[in-house]
Amino acid sequence: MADNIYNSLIAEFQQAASFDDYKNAYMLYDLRHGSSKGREWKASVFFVLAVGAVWYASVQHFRLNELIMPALVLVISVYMCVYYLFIVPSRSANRAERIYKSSWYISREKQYKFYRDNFTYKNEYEYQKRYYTEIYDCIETKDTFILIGGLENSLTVIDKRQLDPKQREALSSHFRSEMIRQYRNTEGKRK
Amino acid sequence: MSAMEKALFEATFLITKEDIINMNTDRERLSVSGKKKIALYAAGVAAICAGVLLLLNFRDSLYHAICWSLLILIGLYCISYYEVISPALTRAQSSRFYEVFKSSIHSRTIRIYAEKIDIISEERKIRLPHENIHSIAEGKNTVLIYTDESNFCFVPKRVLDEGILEKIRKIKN
Repeated sequence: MADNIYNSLIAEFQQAASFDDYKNAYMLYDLRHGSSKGREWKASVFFVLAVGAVWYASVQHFRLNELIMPALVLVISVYMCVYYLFIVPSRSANRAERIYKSSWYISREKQYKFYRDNFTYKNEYEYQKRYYTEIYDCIETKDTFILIGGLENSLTVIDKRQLDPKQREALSSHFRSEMIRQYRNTEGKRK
Repeated sequence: MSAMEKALFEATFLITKEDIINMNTDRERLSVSGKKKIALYAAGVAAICAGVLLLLNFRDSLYHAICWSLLILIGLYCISYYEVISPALTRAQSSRFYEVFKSSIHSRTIRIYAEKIDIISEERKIRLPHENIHSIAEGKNTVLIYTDESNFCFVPKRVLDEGILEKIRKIKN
């Protein structure tokens, strides 16, 4: 889309996504929209079930014939707590690593252009235009901007450290104003 | 992209709601391994059998009856998860996604060359040399061309003929 007064250019730069940035971004994406979503409250539910099973067994004075179901519930609940708190994040990190290392496209340098209504990135092999209306999550961390949305390739990671301070501030304030509902700043209070 | 190179196949199509639903259900179905499905199915059958046996032989109290009935329900849930529950949830989510984003979904052109695949739309252009394609997965209604383990482009099978489908299958074989 050409620059014009109705869709002005906010920032333009060239960069490639590093492995660490991609991995952290993917884990955040997974936590908010993927298989890690809600893992803390799910682990809490199973923790409560485990405590309930122990309490029930104690109320029954640990009688053997009353212990089968509580024991089953306890074992499953403890396993599920461990699963959600430790196994799921570890799997997410491993998946991010496999995706980054298996992709020929993610680590390639791209030319980014952020306009008022949309952004584009392109290189020799790929061109993508995305409207902010397609973005359902915009997360600003200490080091990155993470844009999540779109039909097929939904994760865009921008390294803030490779931008100059003016570009960083321009993008940050633009995302805050354009994507009011979707914008999150993990560093502190949402402005 | 060389204008002189002749494409073996070219098709332009509009992505419909049914295409989005089919893409997500196929992707869901293909992402689950056979072993996982069998394990869940076996667990479901075991839970139902155990529940029925316990219900017939040990229903001396309401509490026990409820426990064994719950076990049977869990078994039924496990058996029907991948065939009924998950596809239904995916269909509903895909429908909602299409309704929200349909104004930004445009028509798409796929061009298949001897050494690469080009996919072109207003919002996306990607050149996929065969050696850069991670894998190709074929579902019931969709072909998914993966650029890595997670990201992909999809083509509905309705726009492909059997000849070109055969060529696509051979790319990663």
